[in-house]
Amino acid sequence: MAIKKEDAIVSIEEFEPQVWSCVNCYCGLCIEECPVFTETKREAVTGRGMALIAHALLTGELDASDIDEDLAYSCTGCGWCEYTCALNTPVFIQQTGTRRTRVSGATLAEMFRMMKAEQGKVPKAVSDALGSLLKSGNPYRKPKKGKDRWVAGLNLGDSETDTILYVGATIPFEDRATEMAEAIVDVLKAAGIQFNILGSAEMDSGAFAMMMGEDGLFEEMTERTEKLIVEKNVKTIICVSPHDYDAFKAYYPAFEGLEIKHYTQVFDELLATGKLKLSKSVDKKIVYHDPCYLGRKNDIYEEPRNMLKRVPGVELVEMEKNREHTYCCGGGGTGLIHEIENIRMNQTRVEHAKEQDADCIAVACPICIQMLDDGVKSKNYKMEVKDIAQLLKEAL
Amino acid sequence: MDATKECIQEIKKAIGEENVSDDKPSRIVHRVCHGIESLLHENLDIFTPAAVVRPKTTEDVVKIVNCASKYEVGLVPQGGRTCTYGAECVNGAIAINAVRMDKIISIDEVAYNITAQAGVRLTDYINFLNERGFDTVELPTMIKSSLMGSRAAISGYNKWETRWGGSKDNIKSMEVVLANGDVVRVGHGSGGPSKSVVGLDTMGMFIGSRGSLGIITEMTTRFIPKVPAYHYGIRAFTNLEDGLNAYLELRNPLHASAVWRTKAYHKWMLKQAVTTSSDFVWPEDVEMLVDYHILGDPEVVDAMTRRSEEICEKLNGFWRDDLPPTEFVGQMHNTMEKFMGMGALQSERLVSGGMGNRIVPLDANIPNSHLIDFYKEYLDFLKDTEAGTTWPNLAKHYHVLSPGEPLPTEQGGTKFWALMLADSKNFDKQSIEEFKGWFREYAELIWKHEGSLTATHGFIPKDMEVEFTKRELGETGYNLLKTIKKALDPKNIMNPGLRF
Repeated sequence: MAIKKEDAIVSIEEFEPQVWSCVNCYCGLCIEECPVFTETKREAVTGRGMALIAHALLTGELDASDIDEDLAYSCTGCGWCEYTCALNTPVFIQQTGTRRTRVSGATLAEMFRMMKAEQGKVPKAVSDALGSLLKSGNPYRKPKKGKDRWVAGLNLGDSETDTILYVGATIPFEDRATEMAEAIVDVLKAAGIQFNILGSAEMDSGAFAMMMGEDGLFEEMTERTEKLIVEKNVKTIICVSPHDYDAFKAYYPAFEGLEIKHYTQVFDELLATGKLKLSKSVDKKIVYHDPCYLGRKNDIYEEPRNMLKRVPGVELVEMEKNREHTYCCGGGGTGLIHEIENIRMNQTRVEHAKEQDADCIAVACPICIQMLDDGVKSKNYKMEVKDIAQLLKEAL
Repeated sequence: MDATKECIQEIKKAIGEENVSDDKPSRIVHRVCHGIESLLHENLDIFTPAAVVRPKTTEDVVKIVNCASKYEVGLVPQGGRTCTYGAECVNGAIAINAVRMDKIISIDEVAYNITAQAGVRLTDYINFLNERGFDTVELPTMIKSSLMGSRAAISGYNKWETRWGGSKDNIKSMEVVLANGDVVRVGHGSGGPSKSVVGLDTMGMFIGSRGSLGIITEMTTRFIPKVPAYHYGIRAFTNLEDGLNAYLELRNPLHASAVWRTKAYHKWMLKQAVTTSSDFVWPEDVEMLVDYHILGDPEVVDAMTRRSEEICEKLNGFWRDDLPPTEFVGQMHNTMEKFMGMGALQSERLVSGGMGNRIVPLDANIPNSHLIDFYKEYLDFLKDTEAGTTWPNLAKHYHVLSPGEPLPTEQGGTKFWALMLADSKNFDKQSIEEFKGWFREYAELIWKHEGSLTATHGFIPKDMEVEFTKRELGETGYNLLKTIKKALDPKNIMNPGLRF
């Protein structure tokens, strides 16, 4: 359910009922598979821990200066705590719950980040990324004109279509994410789908700004994006990134009449209806890594698997932690641009793939591809990390 | 630098700075547990530890204990902190969080014994057994939060308790670090050191001691082979007596080898519970449900299933289409963790996403011979509580979720498993005072029926603990506890918040 962007910004005072709900319940289910807890064994950074800290902030026992950097910036917003939370089980929450009503460690972490921002105590990597998002629509401090040049090079032609491929803030500014997007473009072309890409006019959907806890930037980005999409008279948005897909679904009530899809949904449909045909064999043993924002946040688990099963030669195996139990790649929150000591989720996740003796980790997210590829390189494993679109392209 | 700070510095040197958190947020996170003691205090700082330490090995624990002993600083061991009593910390003490002691050490598949560190999470322990074709008998509700050491520390309850008993029956041996830093292995039976035919059952002292005598670092527990056959049965009853008599007969000791669990559910709870997860409307004439789990070899399960059906039929048990799906109740234990979400009941959270309530578990241990009379009196007591005649302010913030779900404890006894809901934010001074009066009357009702306040959840408000413990154990029994505590922990550093 989408809420207004101004309602998406929540203060701790407004979040008090959820804080109390967690403190009252105290079930601790959020701790078991919290990836930050798995890495650090520090309960303060889990959903329950952050709720207890928020409670102390509300009673005045703590103030913003007590929130240290690790506490504010460790959570990657993977959604495990929201998914498993006992107090998120009532029918009302399941059917209509939003950021304002769900108990969530990520929401609390984002509030802590806002506090750090208000104090002017944001880590340099995060503050550089935020500045770059505002100026250029990407977190990498790259000039936004590069996006126009990249789009021009794709030779999409002059299409009258009202469908866009929304590539998001990482593309074409990061090589691996860009290769992924180019594969999506090629597969869409092969299926005869007409679409446009908005180029440098496309900034951040608000997904990055929200995760980094910069509410002013979030408002700015969502306002710009909404205006742009409305002005362009877009009817269908195909998202490359699950983070943008989630943002459009969660924070853009104005888009409720639009068709918003993640590219895996589009490709799955194209394959199922025979509009996209795969002929070449891709002989690989593949594990699929469920991106948190596609799976736990939006219940898209089967479409990516359906696609991989249709690729000739692919042996699809599951990691022990899959679907609802997926383990975050570490790139959510501020993880993509700011490393926290003792947290190496990407390396842990690569180990999960190694346990299955996989040749390749398939992903469906431009952040996951970067994090897991870094993880493989750090471990010095002979394992590929590829987006599903890249595997489909190989099989065309 | 004061003694506590010096102690923490020394512990940092001994086990590594990264395994000690003394920042205020971390200390606040570890101060209370699921228990309701914290509901009875407006200032929670009385529970805030001076530091949280995360040892990895028994050697780490010894170093921590030696430092604490040297500086006479209290130590409070903590597991998942979903227990209802005893894991609250003490201001200025050090909380020992066992989460890094998470190794399964060995398994003996012939003797059906498994040895694990105290910080192994129950889900990991159970998965480890399941992957090898075995089943656990250590099966509490909060398996995703509970740690193994806590099973001994709180003398845990288990799902299959009718057949296999509680944690005290399943633990074969334990390693304990004593207050003087000595490491001792205690045990009985085939799981480790045996007390032989003479001597004291020293392991028994530590089970249920809630960290007040030593720090449990390792334990050996029994497990069982995969059970080949299972039957779940459930019947409805239109009156309380029929339902409770069916429960009592199903748990007749003769049936215990096959009926591993039976439980009764009152409509006061069921009506509320269904509203969290469905639009189901409870049929008013149905007063009680009773369910039973039969496990064992297929022929045993078949025979016991027939016998159980006869028992229920004789007591007017039935099943109808207007009752909720059987799995709704049948899976209650498995999904009990989600039942913590029943704190949403009677609150805004169900309808607007507002704040949920706090579940207040109160379960007495009632002799079976008193069960029906006690239940009737208790229902009247709860109706009076809700009406607010005696405790008007409490009634505004304190409501009945479940008047009691009888469930076998030891042979001849029933744990009552009653749940209340508290509007904790508005639970003010007056509510707290009235709650203590209410609790005193609740206790008198239990004692009148020769019961004990402590079954699974074992809660007594701290400032009544000494008085009520004496009432249950007698002056001499209480003094024996004090003598044991003093002998093992003369400096009172082990969970000093517990009253001896």
